[in-house]
Amino acid sequence: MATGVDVLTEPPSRPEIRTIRTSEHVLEIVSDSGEGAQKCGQIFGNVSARMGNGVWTVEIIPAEIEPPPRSPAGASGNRVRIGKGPVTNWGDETELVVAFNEQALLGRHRLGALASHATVLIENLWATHADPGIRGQWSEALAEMEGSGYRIVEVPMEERCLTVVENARRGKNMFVLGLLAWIYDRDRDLCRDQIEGAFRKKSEEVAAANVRLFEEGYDWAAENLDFRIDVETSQAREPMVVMNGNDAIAFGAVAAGMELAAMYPITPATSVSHRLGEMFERFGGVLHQAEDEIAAAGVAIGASYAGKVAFTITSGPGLALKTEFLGLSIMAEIPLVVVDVQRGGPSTGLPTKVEQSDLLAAIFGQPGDAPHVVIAPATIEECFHVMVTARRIAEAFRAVVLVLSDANLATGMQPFRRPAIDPAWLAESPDQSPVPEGMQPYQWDPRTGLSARIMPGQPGGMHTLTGLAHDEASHVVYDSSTHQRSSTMRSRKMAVLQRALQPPEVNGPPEGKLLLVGWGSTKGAIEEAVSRARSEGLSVSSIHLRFLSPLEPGLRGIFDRFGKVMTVEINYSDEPDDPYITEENRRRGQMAFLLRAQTLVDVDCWTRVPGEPLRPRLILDAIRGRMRKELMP
Amino acid sequence: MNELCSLAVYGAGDDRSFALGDYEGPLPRWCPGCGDHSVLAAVQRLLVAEQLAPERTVFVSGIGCSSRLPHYVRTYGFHGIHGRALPVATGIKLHRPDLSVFVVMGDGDCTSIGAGHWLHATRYNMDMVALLLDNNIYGLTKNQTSPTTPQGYPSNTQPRGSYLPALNPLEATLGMTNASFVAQTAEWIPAHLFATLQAAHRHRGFSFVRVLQRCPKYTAPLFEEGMRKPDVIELLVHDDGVTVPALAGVYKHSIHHDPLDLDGARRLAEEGDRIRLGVFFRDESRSRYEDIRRLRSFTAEEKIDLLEGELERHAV
Amino acid sequence: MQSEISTEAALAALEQPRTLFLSAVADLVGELGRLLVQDRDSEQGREQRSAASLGAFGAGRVDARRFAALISDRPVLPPAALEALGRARAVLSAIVTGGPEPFVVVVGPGEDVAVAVGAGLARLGRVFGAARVAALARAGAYRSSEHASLLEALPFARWNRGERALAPPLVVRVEGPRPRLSGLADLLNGAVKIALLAPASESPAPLALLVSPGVFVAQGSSLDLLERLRSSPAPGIVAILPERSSRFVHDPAGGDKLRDRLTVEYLSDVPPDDSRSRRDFRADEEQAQLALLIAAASGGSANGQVERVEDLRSDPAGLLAAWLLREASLPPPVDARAGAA
Repeated sequence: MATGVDVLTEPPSRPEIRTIRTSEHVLEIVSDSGEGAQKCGQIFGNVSARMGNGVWTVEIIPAEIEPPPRSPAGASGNRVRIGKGPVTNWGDETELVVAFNEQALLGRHRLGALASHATVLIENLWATHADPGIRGQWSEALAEMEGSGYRIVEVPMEERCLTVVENARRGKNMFVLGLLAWIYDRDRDLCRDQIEGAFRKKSEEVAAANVRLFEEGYDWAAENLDFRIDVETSQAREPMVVMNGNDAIAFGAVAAGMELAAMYPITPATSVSHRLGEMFERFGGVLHQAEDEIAAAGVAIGASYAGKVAFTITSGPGLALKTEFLGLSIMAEIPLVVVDVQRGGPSTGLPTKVEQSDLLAAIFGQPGDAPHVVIAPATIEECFHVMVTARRIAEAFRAVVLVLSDANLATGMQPFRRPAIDPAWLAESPDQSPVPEGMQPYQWDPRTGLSARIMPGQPGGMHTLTGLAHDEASHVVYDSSTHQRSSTMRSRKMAVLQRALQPPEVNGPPEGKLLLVGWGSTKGAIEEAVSRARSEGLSVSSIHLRFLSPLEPGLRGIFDRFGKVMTVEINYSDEPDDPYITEENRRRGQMAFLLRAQTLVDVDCWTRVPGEPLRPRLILDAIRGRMRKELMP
Repeated sequence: MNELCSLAVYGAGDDRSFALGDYEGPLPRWCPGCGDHSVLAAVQRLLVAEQLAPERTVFVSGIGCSSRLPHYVRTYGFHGIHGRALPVATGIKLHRPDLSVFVVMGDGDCTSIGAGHWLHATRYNMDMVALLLDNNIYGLTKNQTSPTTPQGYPSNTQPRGSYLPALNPLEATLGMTNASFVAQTAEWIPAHLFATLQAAHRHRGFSFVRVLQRCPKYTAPLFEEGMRKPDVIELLVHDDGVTVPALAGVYKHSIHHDPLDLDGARRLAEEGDRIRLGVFFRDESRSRYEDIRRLRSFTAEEKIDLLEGELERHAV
Repeated sequence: MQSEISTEAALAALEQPRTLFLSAVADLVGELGRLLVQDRDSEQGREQRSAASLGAFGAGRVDARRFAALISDRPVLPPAALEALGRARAVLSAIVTGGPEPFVVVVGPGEDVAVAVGAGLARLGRVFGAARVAALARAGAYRSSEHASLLEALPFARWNRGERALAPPLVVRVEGPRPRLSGLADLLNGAVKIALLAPASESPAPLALLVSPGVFVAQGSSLDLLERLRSSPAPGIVAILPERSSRFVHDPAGGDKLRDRLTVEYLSDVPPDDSRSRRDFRADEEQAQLALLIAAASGGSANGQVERVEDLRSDPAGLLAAWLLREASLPPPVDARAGAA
């Protein structure tokens, strides 16, 4: 973004160096898959966080592990937004790009990822390559980007790396880290520590070679570049940790005392299990990689039935497969936590890309009446903490709690306040004491629908749990009054939970012309857009929902104080002025659908499915557009 | 992971012993003459013989006639969904290795809708007993062909006879990597049924037992010969398998088969003129999933220490 | 040659069953911790605890007071019961975090091994004592005058079946040449597993008298025996002895017949030492018992046994004959077979 940029001129003692001082900056490193651009970006993000910058890092992931080299679709890397204060989202267009080849750059260009004033540092190998085909691609790519306004600086990456290592392909990323460290004036010791930490697992020699590559890049930049970027830092805050949302979920699950997770590999949820597998090896616990998604649900349910609450992790296609088991868990009131890291759908869709299209499936996807809880963390920090809450609610309500994360949270990295772990978060050891005489497995409190759980090992509690209709004693009963009563009890739990919830806080004035409603990972972008809109004098506020089913209370009251309510979501909706679209047939965003049904307010929506996080500027444009159209005289 | 979280249960003076009455649940509602009755009786006899504490025993089932069995045994029971008993049992056993777990499946459950789980549970080789109550038909849904219905035998879905050769569950299990116990018995020979269940229970690992079982309503003719003519039965006998001396007088045909002999087991499992009962394969040295890695439970204080250490690695 | 297996190596070999035992203890620590917190709290405390248990994501979103009101709590225990629970928990906690020391018994020369092991088990029995105290306290039946001693020790004879099934393994280091082991028979029950390290033993077959159908009994000089002991579902004892001692394994998993259970790898040919002023009758008796067992086993089935003893260093039949001739007072093998098989 362009705010706060000004250009200074340094004394002309050497090649004139402009230092761009700014409150924030977005950069990215793109390469072919396997060239290590992601590691470079991660280390840069970590070092920046340690130096006191707000950071948001997003992985740029191609769908294939090893797509063809030098192809626009194969661009792989990291996008880092750093700022003076907390950074809550990935921002708008990229302002500095380091590209390992012109095709990766072209891929980003075609996606409109780059700002028109972007500076591009690019490997100089290809323009003069021996292969005429590659030279041709180079000139075609540059021709296509002609007029874009980029400032392109060629860097002899390969050439310089070869002075240090034999295989430059394995070393460019740390050379590039050196470039960036000089440009952004990063602490070199911190960088070295991080590099050593990242490579020591391989060997000391590898670590040392990578440090030398880093120095080479730093020195080259110092001798040859004519600009630096100074992003202010705000030091001395409370202790912070940095991780991505999937790591945070894994961490949170362990902090919640959960000791069994069952999963089947599925993008973008799988990395939760990588972290969990590693932690359980040391903390005690089981990561069960099941034979399929269905079995993963079954194993988690079996484990939960017999002990501490367990959980399963998946993404949309896997959630679809688990539905029958979720129905069983709800029917038999076996507590369970399910994490759905949403991706683009339907079907296999966009496996590595963000979307929020599972909301309605998450709430209503189980055949039969299947009341359960759906909650969504809005930040990476919340990914950590949501697991504690989810586990607790699942246990207390004998309920299924579905946690909706998404690919944006999953792969984004952000520093957040170091959690102060509280012993009360940990799941209690299972109660194995004898069951009091006469106590029933479903002894529903008629007021709340709640009943105490009896689990194997407890003398006197023997019963057979069943997914068939059953009475308090867990006896299979098909009569109408029992099914009516037990359905009521399962449903009442949701009402009881809802009555314990508190209304959402309004970001901005509690009344005005437009209220945006968001949920999940869009919080940062929405609030940034709202803040910019308000600085333009627009009367906009926002709320961000965490409890999606049951919905947080007081929504109707909040909505009534605004002229218009509009959800902002990353899922599909028809535009009102699209061909054939009428008020009657318009398919709306999923949260809008839900809110209309629950509040009877005419909630509008602005949604997109770009396969990437929403940019604050696009939301701002939507705010301006809708306000101009409907709210201005 | 709670290996034995029942430390507190055994208070002073807990030296209980259990009689048949301790395991009897409500009266079964299977058809008269259904083989499930015999299986239930044998199971209850086993519980008495092995003195399994009712609160530490779990019967897990899927959906089907046989899957009602847990309701009639006074232990813990989990009557889940069709075909998915094994994943549930896996979860129970992973979290609670201290519990004795029995899985009761029908042929539709195990060899059709849940076939994938069957193969993988065999490979996991967790310490549990898996009973396939095989009546060669879908009974509860009223007479549809199952994978184990013999070729040519009619049903409502294949009225002119089952199209394909029947799936042989013994061959399939014996063919799966890491199988550790494969046996076949028949519900109409209670002594053999009991002895087989006992061997299965005592085996440490995944004990797969196919129980041949009449459905009086839909497949009675398929089992008539086996029930009436001892000559068509052939017993596999061995000290490491199942040997019921009392049966020798009735069943003249027997083969001395060492259950460690996998090739022999596979040959014997092939369809032949006779119905072979006994332990086809047993090898306790196979890897058990739950034994491969086990850490002790940590107390809350220890966990918090570990978590703090882990957070330190992410500290900014 | 002296046995080179250290106490640490033996502890490591039996880590898994010890881990299971400690897991059970750790879980109970957790369960009691919960009771202690819950029952001490006032209504306000419950609300705070509710808020804490819902975590930071719940803060400001879930009303802790309403949530607390939904969760049924256990009845509040009287202070005396809570105090007893606290003491029980402290005993258990100390075992979980206290390292391997309670699982090692050292027996001095001439001391009775069974007495020392019994004392070790009784000390570990305070875990079950603490569990009982906890159960009594929860049920309101705890009387300090009657039950406080449970937190100090619980003799093995008073462990019930469930407790025996949870017994942790012990490593027992015996000093001196003549370990006295026969009394151990009473302790080899439930899940008790003993790794006996007796590097100075001069007895050729100290464990022979402990062989009984349901107990894993083995002696030799290899660490592999401890692995077999660990993986056996039976209770058992393995003695790691100097190389000149007899080597045998009696594994109940072998089958119903003695010949299927007993494998003798080496029968010590150390002759009875007549030169000593006082002959060690017991050591001879033990070796004779082993010989008897072999006789019983080989008599049961010639085929079965010949294979198992064929790698004996010397001719087993000759050895046996020598024994039987020398020990004229012993009953002939035929009778022994009848008795043992």
